[in-house]
Amino acid sequence: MDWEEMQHTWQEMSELRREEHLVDEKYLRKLTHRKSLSGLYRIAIYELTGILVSLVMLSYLIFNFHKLNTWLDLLGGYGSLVILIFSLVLGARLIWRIFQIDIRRNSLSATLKDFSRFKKSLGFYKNMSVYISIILPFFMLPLLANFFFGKNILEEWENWLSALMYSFLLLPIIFYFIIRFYKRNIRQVNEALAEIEEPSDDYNF
Amino acid sequence: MNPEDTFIASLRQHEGIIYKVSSIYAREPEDRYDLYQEIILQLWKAWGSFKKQSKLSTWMYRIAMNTAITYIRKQKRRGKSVKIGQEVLERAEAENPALEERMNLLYRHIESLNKLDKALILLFLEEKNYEEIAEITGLSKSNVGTRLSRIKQRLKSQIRKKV
Repeated sequence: MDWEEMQHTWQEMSELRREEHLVDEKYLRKLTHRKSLSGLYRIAIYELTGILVSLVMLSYLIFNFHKLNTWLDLLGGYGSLVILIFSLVLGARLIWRIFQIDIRRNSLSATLKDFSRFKKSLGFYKNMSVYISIILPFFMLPLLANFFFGKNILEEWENWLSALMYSFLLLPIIFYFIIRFYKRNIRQVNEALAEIEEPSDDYNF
Repeated sequence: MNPEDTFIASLRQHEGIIYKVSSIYAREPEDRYDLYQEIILQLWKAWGSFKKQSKLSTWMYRIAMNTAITYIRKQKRRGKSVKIGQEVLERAEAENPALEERMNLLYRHIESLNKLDKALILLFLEEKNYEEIAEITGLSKSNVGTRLSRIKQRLKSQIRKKV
């Protein structure tokens, strides 16, 4: 197939499409009333849920911060605060990147740039989520013991050691659910990234 | 006429645009149908903001392509999506096997291009002038010209290698 043949083939296909309608009106009307299938929309929903959960946890921690008396409790409290705030900022940033992608008003090149920035943010967010899921349980354990069981881990260090060992057992399960939670969308994004990571793929314009 | 009726009427005039964009950007049938549906939804959502400052087809190309380049494939189809059916989108070409074969070859050549270049070649094949292409893509006219000539060279050498 040479270049002229490509153009001719395209014109022939276009003529054929012009002559008939692909779907009837009933289907078109249905399509205008359904929810978006967009991956961006789904990621935004997941992240908004995550932000909400983090906000609830953060609020609870701040409200009960006065109950933290020992150095371990305070370490757990401050550590958890930092991590939760960091998670909130990351999640909010990711959602902000999604909303930057204005497919209705932007040109193609602007959309591509915004989408590239979103993908970079998503990659960073994915990596940070894994580290956070490793570190957070260590900070949360003393707080959980204090808030929900009224116990001081320092006085019951054997129990704390058991709890820590249980948390090591639980970690793979936690990882599994966290990774599964993001897996579908992250894999799709990676596949989409792989698709477009071609030698001529620069958007410096 | 209510906005939905006007939208449907306009859509039916330019249905080919959505089909072509979804065919260029999604080769798997399931992805193509999802993308087709998503483009229509995005066009409908944006319909209220169409102020006729550009041609309707230009506006549709821009939104369709923006939807296509930000499209993230699903792993499996959700039951809630409206089932258009493969036969609907393939009907016209299935009736002309020779054309279908040439189109598949054409799509295979275009598939090797990145998302922006796919848009440029699609608009060029649609006989849009450089000004319209620049409006849709946000590139300068000279940039459009340079990129198109590079794309054509690349496709020509690709075609020559296959022969």
